[in-house]
Amino acid sequence: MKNILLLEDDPAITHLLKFKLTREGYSVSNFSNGENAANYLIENKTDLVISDIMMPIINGIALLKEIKADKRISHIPVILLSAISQDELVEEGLKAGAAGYLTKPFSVEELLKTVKRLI
Amino acid sequence: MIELLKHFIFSYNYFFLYYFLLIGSIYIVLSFLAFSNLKKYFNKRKYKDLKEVFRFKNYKSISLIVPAYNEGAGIISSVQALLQQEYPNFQIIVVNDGSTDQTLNILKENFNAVEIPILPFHKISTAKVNAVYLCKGYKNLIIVDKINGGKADAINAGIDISENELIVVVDADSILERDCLLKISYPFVEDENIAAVGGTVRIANGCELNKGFITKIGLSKSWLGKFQVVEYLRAFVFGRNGLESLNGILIVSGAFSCFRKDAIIEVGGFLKGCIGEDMEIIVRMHELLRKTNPASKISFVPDAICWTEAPENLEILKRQRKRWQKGTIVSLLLHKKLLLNPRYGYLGMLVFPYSVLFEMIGPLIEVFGYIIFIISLILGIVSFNFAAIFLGVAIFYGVILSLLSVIFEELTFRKYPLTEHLLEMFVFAILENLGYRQFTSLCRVVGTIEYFFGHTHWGVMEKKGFSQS
Amino acid sequence: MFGFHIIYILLALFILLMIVTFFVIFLLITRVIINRRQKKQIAFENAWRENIFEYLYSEQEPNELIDRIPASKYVYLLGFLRDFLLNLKGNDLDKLARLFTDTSLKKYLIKRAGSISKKKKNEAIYFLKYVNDDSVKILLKKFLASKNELIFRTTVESLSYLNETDIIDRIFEFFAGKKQFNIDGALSMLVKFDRSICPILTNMLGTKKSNDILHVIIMILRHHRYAEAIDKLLPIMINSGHKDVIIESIKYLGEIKDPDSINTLRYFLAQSKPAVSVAAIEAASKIGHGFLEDIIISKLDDRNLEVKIAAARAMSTYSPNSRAKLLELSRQNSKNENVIIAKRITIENSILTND
Repeated sequence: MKNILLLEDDPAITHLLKFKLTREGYSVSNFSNGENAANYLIENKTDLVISDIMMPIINGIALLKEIKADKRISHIPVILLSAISQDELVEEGLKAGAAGYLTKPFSVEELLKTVKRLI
Repeated sequence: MIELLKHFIFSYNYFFLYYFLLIGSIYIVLSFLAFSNLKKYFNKRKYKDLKEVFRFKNYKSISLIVPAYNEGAGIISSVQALLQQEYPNFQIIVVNDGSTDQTLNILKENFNAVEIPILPFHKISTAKVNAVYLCKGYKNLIIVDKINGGKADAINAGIDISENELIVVVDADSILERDCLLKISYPFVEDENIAAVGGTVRIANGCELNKGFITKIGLSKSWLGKFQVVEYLRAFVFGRNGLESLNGILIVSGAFSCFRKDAIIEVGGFLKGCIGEDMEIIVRMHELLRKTNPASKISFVPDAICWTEAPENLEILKRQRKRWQKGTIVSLLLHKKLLLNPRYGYLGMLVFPYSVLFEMIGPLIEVFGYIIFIISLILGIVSFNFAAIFLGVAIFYGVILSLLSVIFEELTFRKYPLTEHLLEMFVFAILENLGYRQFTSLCRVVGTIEYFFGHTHWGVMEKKGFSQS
Repeated sequence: MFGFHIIYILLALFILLMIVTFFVIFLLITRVIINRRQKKQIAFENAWRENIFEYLYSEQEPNELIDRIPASKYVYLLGFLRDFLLNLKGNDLDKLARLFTDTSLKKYLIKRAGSISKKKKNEAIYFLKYVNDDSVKILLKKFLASKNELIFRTTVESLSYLNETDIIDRIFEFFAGKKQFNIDGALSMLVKFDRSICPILTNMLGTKKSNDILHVIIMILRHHRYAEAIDKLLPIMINSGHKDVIIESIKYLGEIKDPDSINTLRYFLAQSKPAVSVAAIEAASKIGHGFLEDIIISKLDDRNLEVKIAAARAMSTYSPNSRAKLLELSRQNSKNENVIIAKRITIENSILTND
């Protein structure tokens, strides 16, 4: 079973994504901010991260860079999911190594397709 | 001669009684006005999706200026918290106003500052800027180091290097909620006639903090803190803000406010060295901007909340209130041409005279009145009946007003989740009028006397620190 | 005599006590009511969340879900769905919309929209935009006549969500009727329409409109990058004396990146008004292609500092030649303005791009 870490501070979206991903056969853990995400990834086998950008304590892109900088977890694909649709930020996210970038409002099917493609 | 004096004392008591009735009634009217305004605002807000500006990109870019003087202790966590604001396009400009402590070095080290050449381009003149720094890894953070010039000058230095549309001024120890920028900038998105918007200031004492954000709202443990919570509700939230519908807001809090950059530059920036620069610039904006554009408006956003530390020590409270009073006097005197000037509508004809009478001269009338009243009682010039009515009115009206404020708070903001806190606020609303209010009026009188006899300088507020969770 | 006074005092205190008690009770009741409402919302969500998600995941008919929810709970349902309606698109959004269109929820909302209470009316109008039905569009347009500003604005928002472009005139009328035309206000309303608004606005360019309205129209065309408007816009740009209209049009050119507009930009770059020059430099920089290299470099010597800075910024990305020139300038050891500006822009770029 593949494990997904979801980082999202909107509780409604979190619930929905957890539901759908679980139905699709994935195991999902979630935090509402990225503070302990890196440590969690090191200690728990995870296959994919879906992360919001604007979260408290640590910004999604900063977290992405942290993940890519650590050899133990840099192989884990990260999908960014955010309300920010600014071209510069999308570019920055992809340059930093994001495997995908979805802007809100987003399509859950598209997200699922991307997830299937990556893992 | 004695008869004349007695007659004067007697009449003054009545004058004082009517004064109290008048000011009490005005405050009650303002409170209801504020309440109805707030209800309208919250109804509008309920189905307004502020985050839509991310999608439609009709937001205004923001420069968040943080003037810092000897803020070495808390500046890092403040800036880190501010960096987490949810907003599509903003920058933070920390202006080190010639601190004598390690503020600048702490900032430089923590944020990987790199010095950049200062552009030979000034929209507002300020005291000398020593250096400007960009920060590696923090694209939207700029540090400005300058010679000490006071808060107004520091803000001006920040405005000078800003290339964004809005200027938000925040105190280094203010705590903002993550969506404050979204909320306070919103009026500007929908109306270009808005020149300035004030946030709401609330008391952080007793609240729990984690990494620069409030995690649990609580009531201050000290009596002084509790008094101030009620006072802020009465005087600043529901009292002053009732003036919004009259476009008569005379002051937006220096702890958290937002301005259209072009508007500030048009009126010449903040007034250097001015006590109460936050009130002075607003009054000046009314005066100058409304001349060319009668639709210019100054507003406030009730739910853009800034939490700030209130003094819990009588000495510091005294200094604060004296300073506020001097600031009020300066602003009113500098712009006396607004007084009873029909060109400025309700502001000129109602709000300004009201401020002169009740905010500037008011405390003098009040304290003098108490003194006269006590003398009258001792000398038996007034009857016991009168004494009863007098006390009744002086305190009764005040109590009703304070209680109303607590109720309005519950009906609109509802920031205090624990019912015990609400009941405590109720009790302190009553007690507030039995000594605390009189104390603050006394401070204001001392401030007024000091101003007119040439004693103007800033006091330094001692930092007590918040309870860390 | 003294005793008489004591009665007065006691009476006054008693009245005060009564008032205070009344206030306290009122306060506690309000709190209880609001807390109950919140608890009910949470209870509803916990009870129905799985069911609603199940509906979104499966091929269930909307009625199968809605018929099971009592009408008294619709308020909580709406509160729950709101976040999803804002954040989702595609299949899920369509399914959620069907909950509004194909069930008794529609009748509920229509009835609520007729409510006397402004709050309920506002809420209903807000949600009616998810009902995909012509009769609802007609109903909403009736509400445009409302004198209440909140109702009017929410109605406009709902109709703009549905892309009912025939209300555009009404929007302009609304702002033209105020003391001062509110450009940002009109922009906020129009920006919510999708691209289909552009041809209509482009047609309006042909008719005589006030400068403020032109300003708003051009901003929207720029926002959608609607290149087809350029033919109508060029003559307006060139003949307009209004600074804001000109600047907004220049920004438009920069956004649509039409290489043929180079000549127009050249014309405006020759203008002396600093704000216009700055806009033209930025637009040229966006379009690229290198044809205006000489003018941009020459603008570095303009008298106005804002123009100089804009030119330096543009030079750092415009062409290899301009980049080289800027770098060369930045390496000089002089207090000359241009050198300082060059140094500043170069260092800025290196800090902001390398991390």
